[in-house]
Amino acid sequence: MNEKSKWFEVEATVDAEAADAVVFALTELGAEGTSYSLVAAGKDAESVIVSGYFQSAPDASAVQSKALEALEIYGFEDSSLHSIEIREVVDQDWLAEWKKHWKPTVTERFIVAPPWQEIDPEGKIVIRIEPKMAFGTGTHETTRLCLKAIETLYEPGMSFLDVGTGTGILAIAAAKLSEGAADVEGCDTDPEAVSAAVENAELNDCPEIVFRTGSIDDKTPEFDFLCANLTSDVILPLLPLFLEKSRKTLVMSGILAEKSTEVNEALRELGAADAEVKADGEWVSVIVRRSF
Amino acid sequence: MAKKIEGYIKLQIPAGKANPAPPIGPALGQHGVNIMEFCKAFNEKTKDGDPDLNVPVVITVYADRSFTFETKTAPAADLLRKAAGIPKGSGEPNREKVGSISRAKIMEIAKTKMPDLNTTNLESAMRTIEGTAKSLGLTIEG
Repeated sequence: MNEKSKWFEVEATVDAEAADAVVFALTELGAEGTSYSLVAAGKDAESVIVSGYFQSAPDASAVQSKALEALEIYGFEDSSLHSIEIREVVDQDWLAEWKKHWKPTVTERFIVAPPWQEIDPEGKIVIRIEPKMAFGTGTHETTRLCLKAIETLYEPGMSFLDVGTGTGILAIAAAKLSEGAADVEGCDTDPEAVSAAVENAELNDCPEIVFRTGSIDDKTPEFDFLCANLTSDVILPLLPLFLEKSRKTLVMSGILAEKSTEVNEALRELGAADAEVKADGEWVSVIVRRSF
Repeated sequence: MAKKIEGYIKLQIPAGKANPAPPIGPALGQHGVNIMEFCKAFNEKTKDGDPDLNVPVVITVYADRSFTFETKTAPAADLLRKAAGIPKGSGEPNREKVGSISRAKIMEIAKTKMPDLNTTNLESAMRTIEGTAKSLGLTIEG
């Protein structure tokens, strides 16, 4: 990264459907790169801001005419372009910038934080997760719900299976509570997630956890504690297997509050009538405990 | 895991050349996405690509700021410029022609671009590519 380089940003506000035409125009003008984001605006937003980055200041009228020309080519009205602004980009350390957004996730017994963040453990178990291309950085409500279930219901030594392990965070939490003295496994259908989980297990000094690519099936052995932070459409067809393979405790999350009745009814039909539901924001976890 | 999608970021960057400078730094940084990790993964995935061509990429940002990305075929304009051997398009495409391209080449580019165009019909994909060619100031031969 060249810290000293100057950049000029062209910000064009356009109708969302015409965004690609403006990307084309900015590229034609020699932009080093373009971006637009539907994060803040949402997927159904009517207008988006297209940014193009240039190493020398582009001429405002040239940008305007190129953009209008591109809109015509793509079959849009001139009015789909709302405004164009050109500004110098303040030089900053972008790598430091994204890290500023991170705050550790703190529960009763765990602190989840990225590797670079300094934290005071205050007697809690620290789990380090590098936020990458696998779900389970700790910040999501569903991950928190599962961590809370684990810290209150998991007993050291219990065998543990995490279905849809993502970063491996929940398996790591269980392994930490057992201090290495339990059979802990995690699986995910995404091989990318499995390699992230293996890395995270090493980072957290839990080499005993077994991660594998795949899901749960008839051949999967029984575990004392089974955790599945998936989504209700994935959970529902797997419910009979989850019940069969969990000896003592079954924790399921990734369920939207509005879907919890559906999951509960399915559980009741399968003979597990006394499920507990815990909520965090719009998400819930459903917990089934066996007394035998 | 419960992958709730927060949104999408669309970028165009040269193959194998992602770095934390703009557009990646500011676009990803403001959403808390791991910039270095994206650069590494993108460069690895596009390392055999043509560094003269821009690769459109769609990054999906999840609610817990983890992400995935998908690369698309190079923009039609880039493929056309390369095929016609011109560094850039015409400033006045209707009056000033900067080069020419064969219909066979148009068909080849249309086939390359098919997965990312909203059509499965080669004829209509070719029409889209022809439109872009004309907008660059290219005449179509054959």
